[in-house]
Amino acid sequence: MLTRVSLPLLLLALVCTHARAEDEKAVAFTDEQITFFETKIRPVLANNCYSCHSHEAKRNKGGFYMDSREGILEAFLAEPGKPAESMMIEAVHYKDPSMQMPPAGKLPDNVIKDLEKWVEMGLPWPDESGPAVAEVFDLEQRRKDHWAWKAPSRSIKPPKAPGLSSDANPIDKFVEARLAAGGLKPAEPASREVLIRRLTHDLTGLPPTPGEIEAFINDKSPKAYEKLVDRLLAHKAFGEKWGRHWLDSMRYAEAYGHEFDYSIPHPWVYRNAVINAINNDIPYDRFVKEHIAGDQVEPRPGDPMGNESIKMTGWWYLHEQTHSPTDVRLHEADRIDNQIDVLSKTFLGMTIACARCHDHKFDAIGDEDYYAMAGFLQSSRQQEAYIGHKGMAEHLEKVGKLAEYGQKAFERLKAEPLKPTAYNPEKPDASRSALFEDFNEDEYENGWSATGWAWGDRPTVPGQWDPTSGKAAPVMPGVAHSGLNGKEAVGTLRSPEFDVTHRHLWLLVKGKGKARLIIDGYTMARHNGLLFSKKDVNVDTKGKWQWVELITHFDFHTEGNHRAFVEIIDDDKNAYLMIDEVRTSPRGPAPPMPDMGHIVLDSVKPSEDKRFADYTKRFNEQSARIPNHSRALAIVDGSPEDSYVHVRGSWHVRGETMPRRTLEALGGKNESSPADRSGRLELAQSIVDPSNPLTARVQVNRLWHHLFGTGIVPTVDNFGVLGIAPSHPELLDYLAVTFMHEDKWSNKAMIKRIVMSRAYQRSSDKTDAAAEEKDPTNILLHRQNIRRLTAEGIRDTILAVSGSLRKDMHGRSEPVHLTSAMDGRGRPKSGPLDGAGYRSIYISVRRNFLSPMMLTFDRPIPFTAIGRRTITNVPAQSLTLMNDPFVHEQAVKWSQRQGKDGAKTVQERVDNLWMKALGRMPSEEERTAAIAFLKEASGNPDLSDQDALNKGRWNELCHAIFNLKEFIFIR
Amino acid sequence: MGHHCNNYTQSPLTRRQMLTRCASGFGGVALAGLMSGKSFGQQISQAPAIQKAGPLAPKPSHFTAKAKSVIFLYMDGGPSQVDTFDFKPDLIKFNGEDPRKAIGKLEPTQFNSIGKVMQSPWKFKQYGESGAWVSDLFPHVAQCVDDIAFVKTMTSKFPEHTTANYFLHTGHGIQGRPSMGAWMGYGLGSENDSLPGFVVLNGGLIPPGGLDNFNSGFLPASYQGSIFEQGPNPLANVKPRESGNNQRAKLDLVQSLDQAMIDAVGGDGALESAVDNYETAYRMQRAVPELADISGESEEVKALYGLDHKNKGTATFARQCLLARRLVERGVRFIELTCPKVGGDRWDQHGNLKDGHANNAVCVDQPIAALIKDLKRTGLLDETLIVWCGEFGRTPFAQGSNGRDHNPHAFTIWMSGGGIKGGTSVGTTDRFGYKVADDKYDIHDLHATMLHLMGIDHTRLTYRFSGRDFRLTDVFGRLIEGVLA
Repeated sequence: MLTRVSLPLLLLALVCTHARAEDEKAVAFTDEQITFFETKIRPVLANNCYSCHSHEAKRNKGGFYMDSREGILEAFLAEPGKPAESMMIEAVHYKDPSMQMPPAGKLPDNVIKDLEKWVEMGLPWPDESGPAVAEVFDLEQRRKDHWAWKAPSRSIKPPKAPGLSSDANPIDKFVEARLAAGGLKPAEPASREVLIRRLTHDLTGLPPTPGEIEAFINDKSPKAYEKLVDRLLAHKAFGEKWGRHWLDSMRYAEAYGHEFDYSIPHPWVYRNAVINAINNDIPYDRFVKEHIAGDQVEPRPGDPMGNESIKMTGWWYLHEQTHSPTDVRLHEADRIDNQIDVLSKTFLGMTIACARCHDHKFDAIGDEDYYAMAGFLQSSRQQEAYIGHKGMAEHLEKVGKLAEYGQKAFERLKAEPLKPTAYNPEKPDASRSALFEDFNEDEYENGWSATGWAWGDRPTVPGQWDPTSGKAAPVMPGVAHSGLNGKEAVGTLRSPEFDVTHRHLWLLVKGKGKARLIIDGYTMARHNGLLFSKKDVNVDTKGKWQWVELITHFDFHTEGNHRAFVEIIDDDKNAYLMIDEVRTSPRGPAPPMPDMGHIVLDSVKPSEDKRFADYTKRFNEQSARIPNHSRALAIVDGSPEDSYVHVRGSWHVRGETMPRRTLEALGGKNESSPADRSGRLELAQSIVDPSNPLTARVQVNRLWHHLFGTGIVPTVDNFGVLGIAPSHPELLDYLAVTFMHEDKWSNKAMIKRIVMSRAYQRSSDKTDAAAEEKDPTNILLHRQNIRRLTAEGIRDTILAVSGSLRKDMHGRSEPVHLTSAMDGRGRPKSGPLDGAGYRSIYISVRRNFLSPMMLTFDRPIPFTAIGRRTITNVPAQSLTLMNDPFVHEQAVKWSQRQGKDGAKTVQERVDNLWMKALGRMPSEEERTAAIAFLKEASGNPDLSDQDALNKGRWNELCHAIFNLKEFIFIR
Repeated sequence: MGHHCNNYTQSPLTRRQMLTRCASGFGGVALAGLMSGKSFGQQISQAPAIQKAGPLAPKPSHFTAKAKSVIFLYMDGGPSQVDTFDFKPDLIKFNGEDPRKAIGKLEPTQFNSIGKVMQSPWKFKQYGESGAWVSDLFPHVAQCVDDIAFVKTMTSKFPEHTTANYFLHTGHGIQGRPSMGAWMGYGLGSENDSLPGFVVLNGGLIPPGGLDNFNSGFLPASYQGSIFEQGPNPLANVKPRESGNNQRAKLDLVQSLDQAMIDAVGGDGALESAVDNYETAYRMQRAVPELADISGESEEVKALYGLDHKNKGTATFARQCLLARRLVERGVRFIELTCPKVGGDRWDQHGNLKDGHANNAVCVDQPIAALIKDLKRTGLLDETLIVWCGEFGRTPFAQGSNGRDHNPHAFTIWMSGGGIKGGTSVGTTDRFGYKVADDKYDIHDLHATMLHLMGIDHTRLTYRFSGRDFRLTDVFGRLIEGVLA
């Protein structure tokens, strides 16, 4: 039991390490000493001693244990602080022939010295609460023992099921064979009106209209149902319904939470890209690849700039985060933990983040796996990617052609080319600055790279005409220049990652833009400078060259532990920026200005200038036509970097460095990542490789879950040992194989397969007492399940029924309506009560101001991947439907619109309401009860039918209908 | 998780049977419940069939509980221990000196603006038989020290508000975990079928970190804290938007149509629970405003709490403390009070400690003392655990010239009531009140102790989520034995 509760923490390295530090035994040792032990000593002990003297030893020799500090002390092998009096030191020196250890051969001298040093220090050892007696981590054994790591077999054939022909839907063969084996009969098919309501909600999140219901019921064609399925799959609302499911897994939010709930940049661009990708049925393998490495994949056909693919990477950075962390590397480690958590649960159905502090307690996942994965994120950066709109590429090309044209003319002048300037100030450099980058190469080198269109692919070179100059002037060579594609072009130039060693970073710049320093991936300085001053600077040099200062240190800076990079941003259509040099210095003041004046070229005749003024004019006219851009939250490669194991989850304690790779259990040890890139693309490929046993299973199971209310594996995010085993393992494998090889990863094709099954189309009524007795939780699927609509489903259905639903997509997000209880720092502007009629997926999701109605009906709090919502059943839900002003308002609107339906009798109007809200006609008793209530609610039980029709308070009946269980449940 | 799945079969009376017996229909059932007795406790015993099955149904504790309810007085921003309950004469002696010399090595602080050692602007005196030292900031609470157990050596793991708040409330320094009140509801259920089990009385200041401090995290939503606002309608949507008759007629229609549907589908646990919820919700419409209506309280009681105090913040907090007592009387499991707006900042005096702490103290001192006295005289103090606690303390040296920065390395909290040994003090800090000298505790230990007093073994209260069994106390927590009676 105790091991159960001491399971790994998801995000809590700090808790662990501090707890260790507080422990009396460990308190004497510093992090450096522990690091020394972990890197220099433990491997030596493990490789040379453990095979005989540990709890893992097959046969222990000598009866003592060297796999814990206590074990060594108890056996008097070492005397803390006194290597000369320590038996183990004596043994490794091979002095006494009767005691020479290790027996295989004397250790190298430097290793012996390390051991002596370690004993001298007092045997530093992290607190491990005793040796791991029973918990030998055997990854290979675990992999062999658990079903999910074995690839689904391609040769699985559907079994024979009684009463089913050979061409029956294979899903039904699996399900019904199992039912027959259990002595169960499947339920009858659902009625057409139940079926169309179920299917329309399941596929679009909206109710069918009365016209659609009627058409379906009257469609005598044998393909009537299939036609309905096809129509709904093609409906735009399909992407909104299934996109919302996906956003749960991506912990979609638009603000970071914590104290001020700062805004996440452009989150809705990701949301809308997801909706479009699902509507366009982007194959799931590509969909996943774009999520992981959409900045690197080949563009989709018809999207030459790869805009849609890069938008799909936005999810990486939808995590929560705080401003002003006192431990910025812990902040980074927590962020990466969350990214790995979402990635692994959603794409692999595995809880890799459990292995942050130690090997997974149950699954075939080691802490080495975790840090091998963490390296992909260490090697990547958040970016606000530039999205070019229609015609962008053409216009940029035209601008480039004009510049080229001018360049050729300029070359014919045979002007003396300028050389790049050397930093050679006349005054002494009091800050003792050192060169970081001078941009004097022909390419962006040393890890500098640019995104967008402004910075080109190289710094300026000698002999290059300046198309912005308006004359026959050369551009200053050896600078990065964001204006050579026209000032309208925007872009970001990024430095490689560097170790933070000097306090000051100096940028010699001219023009207008921004400079940012990102330390350990921390991007919040733009919101709040507390603890992180001078990290985010607006630059405007008013046409002069000037040193701009960034401070690389911050308040809790710890020397030697931080890495950073610089972003130089030209996001202004009316400006550009040049940067000549980047220098570092231990202290101020700014380095002296070098003489920048000598770039004026006087070897060109002034008479030439007129011609070049004309070139410039044409160049400017063309660049003014560059279309507007937008931006997307996205990922981009940084400097490739492997992560070291954070021993016990603490970045302070350095373990072995792990090359980037996927899980060992998925063959990760046979992979290697490229030296010049993050390797995310390779990671993505390995995840969607058909040999991956998890990816396809996890996705088909998720689709199944949303169509039946329970997955074949009920724990949709956890296919590990602590997940729940599949109820129909062969069916799961059959679907996974079919999904990959036959359906080519098409979600729509797989959904169609499932909804075309008899299993899906069955009645959910519990009319077969024997079946309920044998299969009370319906694991064997003898019927469909009664399911409550999602939070979004309820709200959207109210809007649809009342006639208030806006069907168009929302570009951004409609602000959430704030109640008086929604208070606190960062309180945004309140939105309209009805969300302007937009579907719920378009209402903003700010972490500290989540919609109470969504929360009440179980939309998850966006903190990690949630593939399966908890479904609660609480009085607050009743109070919402009874008393929420939104519900009342929509009841009134519905009654007003319904008043124009042309109904001639009160009965007819009641029938119309029923059809609209419940998708069926009322029974005679229901109709009578409704009319009686209408009259009572109108103040006169004896009201005539005609008066009730014309003057009755229909909104009261509409409101009552919103409160029916049948309204919020689907049968 | 399907908490409702089996309720239908476990319920001693099915809904249908219930309604058959109560021929007057929906309104009749709910109304009968409301009118069945003066106290809500009686009401529960008379109408057990409806409520005993939901997620909030009372559950057995692990062992005999010392307290049935918790009142958590959350002191937002971090009150200074050395200006309230942890008297340090050495601060006077070393006042104005460089703390690096007087105290030695200093830990990083949030703002890194380290001033001089700063003596408390307030005088300390000893009170009660126990002789506890209390500063002039708390003249009323000082009268109750013999009912209070101080823990002088509480620590936090985080020096910053948001993470420290999450840690204090959920046992983890991150967003999204269940709050301690949600854990209590999950472990013990509720004794009241007309009110939520976890109520946050919002004095006006939502702590940094927002409503997630009170959330149910991965626990089912039934356990999340309900935020009660000030005023006559403290809960969202608890006020009907129509006349009682109209609503009852409507709900009767809904009930009869629902029943027909449930019959048609052959019965369904989730549907039946959803119907049951309407009955609870219907009662809440009455119970919540009734709770908030304090017109029946005597003038003496109102004066005791300070309801008409000329300081608006005091009057606000007085009302919250009185509501806390009324919630305890109604069997609500966990009640948290947040601080009122005092004009300036909450207890977070990075500058101008003297005015800021005085403003905050005057708001809470009299109401808290009144709460202890009032509960004591009615005997309810014996079964109520009161906890007074901030997310961390403050530095004994100044930030700038007259403020104090965050100090998670040692701060004072106190407890009073059921199972608590009054008149005691646990742990000692160093001579400056900066760090722990002896007997160190952290928030996990506080949570373990609170659960213990409520009859729960903190190591056995677990919830399976995402492949592991979570605990409020994670893998930590030990009882603060010294405070236990």
